[in-house]
Amino acid sequence: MNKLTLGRFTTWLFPAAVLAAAVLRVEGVPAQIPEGSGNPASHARIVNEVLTAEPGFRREALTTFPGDLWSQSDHFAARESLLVERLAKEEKMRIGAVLDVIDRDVKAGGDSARGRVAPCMPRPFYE
Amino acid sequence: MSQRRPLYARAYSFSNSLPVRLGFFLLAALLANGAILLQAGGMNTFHDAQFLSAYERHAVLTVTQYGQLPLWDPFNCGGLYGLAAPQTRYASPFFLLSLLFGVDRGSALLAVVMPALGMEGMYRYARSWGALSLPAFLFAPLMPLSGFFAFAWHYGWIQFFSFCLVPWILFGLRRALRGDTKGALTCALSVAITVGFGGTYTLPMAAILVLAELLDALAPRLLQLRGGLRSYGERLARRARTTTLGLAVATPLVLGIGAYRLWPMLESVSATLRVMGGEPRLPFEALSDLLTVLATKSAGTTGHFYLAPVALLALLALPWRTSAALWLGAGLSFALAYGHASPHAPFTLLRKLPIYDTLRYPERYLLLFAIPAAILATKGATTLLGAARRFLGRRGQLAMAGLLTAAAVAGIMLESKNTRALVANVELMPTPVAHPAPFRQSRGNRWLMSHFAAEGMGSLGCGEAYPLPMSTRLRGDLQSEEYLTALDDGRSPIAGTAKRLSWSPNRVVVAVDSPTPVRLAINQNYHPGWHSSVGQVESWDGLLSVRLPAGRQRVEVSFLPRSALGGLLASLVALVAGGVFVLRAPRSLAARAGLLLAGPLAVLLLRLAWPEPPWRSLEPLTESGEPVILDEVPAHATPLKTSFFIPLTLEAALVPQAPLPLGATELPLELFFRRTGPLSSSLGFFLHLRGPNGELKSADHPELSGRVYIARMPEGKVVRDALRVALPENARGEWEVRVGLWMAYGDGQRAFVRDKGLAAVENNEVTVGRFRFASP
Repeated sequence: MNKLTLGRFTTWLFPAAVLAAAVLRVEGVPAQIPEGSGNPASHARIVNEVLTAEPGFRREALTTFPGDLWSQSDHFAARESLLVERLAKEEKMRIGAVLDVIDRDVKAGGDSARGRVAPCMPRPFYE
Repeated sequence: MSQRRPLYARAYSFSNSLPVRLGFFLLAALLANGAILLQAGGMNTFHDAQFLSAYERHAVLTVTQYGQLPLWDPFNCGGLYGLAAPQTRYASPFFLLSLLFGVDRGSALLAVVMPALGMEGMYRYARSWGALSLPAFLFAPLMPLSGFFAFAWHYGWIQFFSFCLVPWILFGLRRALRGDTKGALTCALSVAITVGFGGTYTLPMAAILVLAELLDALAPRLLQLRGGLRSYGERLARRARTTTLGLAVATPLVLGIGAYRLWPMLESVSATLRVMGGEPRLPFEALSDLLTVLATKSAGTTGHFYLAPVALLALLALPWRTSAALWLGAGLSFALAYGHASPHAPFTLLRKLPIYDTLRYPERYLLLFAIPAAILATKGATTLLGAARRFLGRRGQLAMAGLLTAAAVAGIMLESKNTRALVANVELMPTPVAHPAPFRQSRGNRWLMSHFAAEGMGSLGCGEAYPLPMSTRLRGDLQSEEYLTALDDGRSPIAGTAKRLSWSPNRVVVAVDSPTPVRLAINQNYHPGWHSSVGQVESWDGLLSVRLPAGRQRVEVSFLPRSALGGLLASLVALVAGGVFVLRAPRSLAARAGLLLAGPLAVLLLRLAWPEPPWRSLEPLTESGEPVILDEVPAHATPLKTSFFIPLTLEAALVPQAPLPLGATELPLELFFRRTGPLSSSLGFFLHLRGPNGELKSADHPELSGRVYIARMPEGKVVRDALRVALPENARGEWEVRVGLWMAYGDGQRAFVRDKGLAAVENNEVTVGRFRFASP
């Protein structure tokens, strides 16, 4: 069995140094700064916009994916995600905070259909 | 006095030293994928990246915030068993990077670590094929730095870095098949880490090259028939014995060490299999472009499988005699990448096998092609160096080595350019930061999946790669995630209370006070791995629930599935036993067999000693809660009895007889089919509504009631296709409903009607009924 000599040990410094450089490079990249949680006025605007947009999203999903319940839910979610991203940008809120506002409204709204989604059923093919 | 070693000898010495090699491989990966590292400060916004990285975020949260192993992921789909989900990657040592540096920075580091590991695997694999160390070293980056990994990074498919472990699997197997037990252990460990890292597509694809390895191990060189057929036969028999013994050692080690992941996954795959339709094919020019054209920022379709053209230098040597299996592996991988080129194309035939029928994207086989191509290039370079030495002397050899080195360095630079272009359009957003809040399910959104858990929410909306059994009772509008309901499905009133005492992903504690026996419902999916300190855990239409006696009690519901603990135990046993087998090499057959079979036997014993109900897919229900699969056609449906040349009969239909109110926006419709034989996964339904003035409204769809794939219809049963069709605005008069089947994901041909039965048929469209709008 090979002995761990000083020379052999120092050769391991080479990969260790490269790895350390990679870690430093990754750690040195500045983090993107998350936005805040918004205020009652922005929350109200979000609720209003989402409530206005949802029926159109559902109708579009039904037309685009007839008979495919999960794809309808997913199409609705795709449209909603664009709206959420726009609202987050406009209200200078983090996306999670916008989703939190929507969730609170769904829970307070009393319309159980808004809180349901179709079980996952991936399509047989994606173009 | 020391003599100065020639440069060429020193280069060989460098490539023979593991630390020096690793250092250069890390450096090559750092140079080539430097652009990826610069994206470590945020989260990829692409929707696949959203849900794929969410698994990892949820696992990190489970460990760091709750101090638990990431077994149950309550944040995704209403809860899923993480080890059974094919795309999770935290069941591998690389999860440490996510824990130490965070998911986004850890993922970026993988772009250096995994290719470097892949290069070392390629080096060893090439050496095992007889290549010299310098060419093996120079050509090792070809596959691990190919454009595919940058392309995968763009979409957030981090688990595809598992392909970097394929050379290790092949290297280990190659040695195992030649009687080296260390090779068997290397192969088993590599397989375990690959599946743990979400390499569920990687392994079945890699099996193609495993076949080539088996062939190489079994067959003596076909061109060496000098000793006659008898001698050849004897050599063949010797090889067959060694190969069989090698497989007998490697197989139980692979199954045993990988048990911690294979066991949960096999349980899930057997319960829920996806259908993948389509007949993709690629022309030669497209394949050639994928391998040889660099990506640009504006053209997103090139560079994906770019292999630096250094390979051409070596392929000039065309080594053949000792490399038949490599050529076979390369040829087969390339042929598979053509896709459905013909009914008998390799890809078409391969997709007839289980598991492979769910794999799409034939071009991904180009990544496999890169492995034997790189080894062939290495062998070619070895031949070139030998020829240079023979015809040009030592200086000529040195010049050739310099030329190859320059080509390898140029290749890395080109890959760096390729990566920069492929990841240039990645959009980043801030990494979600935890804002602790009591956990609750929201309706969620898979396109923004990574944002929910940080806010204390689960996302019911999700997009798994398989039809995960999700309860239709899951709700995103509940005031309380734990609630009581009567044992008669909620028909009786409930007087008791349920109050959450504590919550964590694998454990929920609820204080229940009820004067009567009651059901505690928890707004998450059921899995047989859930256990309760009181009462009996059961599935309530797929929802996690506990049947409780009357009284005041503290109910602790915890998740510990047999396959998680048992699989981990079996893996540890197999690892230790495998280590002893390799290091101590026991002589007695019983001891050898015992050590090798320790892992699989542990699985079998645990299955016997720890009974657990099987995890089943749920009974499919329509949107309104009716069963989709029936024994007979409902009596009130209109019989049609129309059969097709494919083994399917349209038994009956339900079209509204009463006039629809003017302004109605949807038509409810039910069709009843019966399957009598195998059906293509590329089939889809077309449905046409034809209006009185020639209007046409289409409602084509790929599943029955949105719950059952056509190819998975239970044979002999009646399957209901209930759907709502959006009606055109201002529709009037009487409309006709026509239905048929077509190769929606194939050549677009319609299925021919064999017997029209009781229906009218025109152009293979079956008229199933008419509906009308009320008069104004």
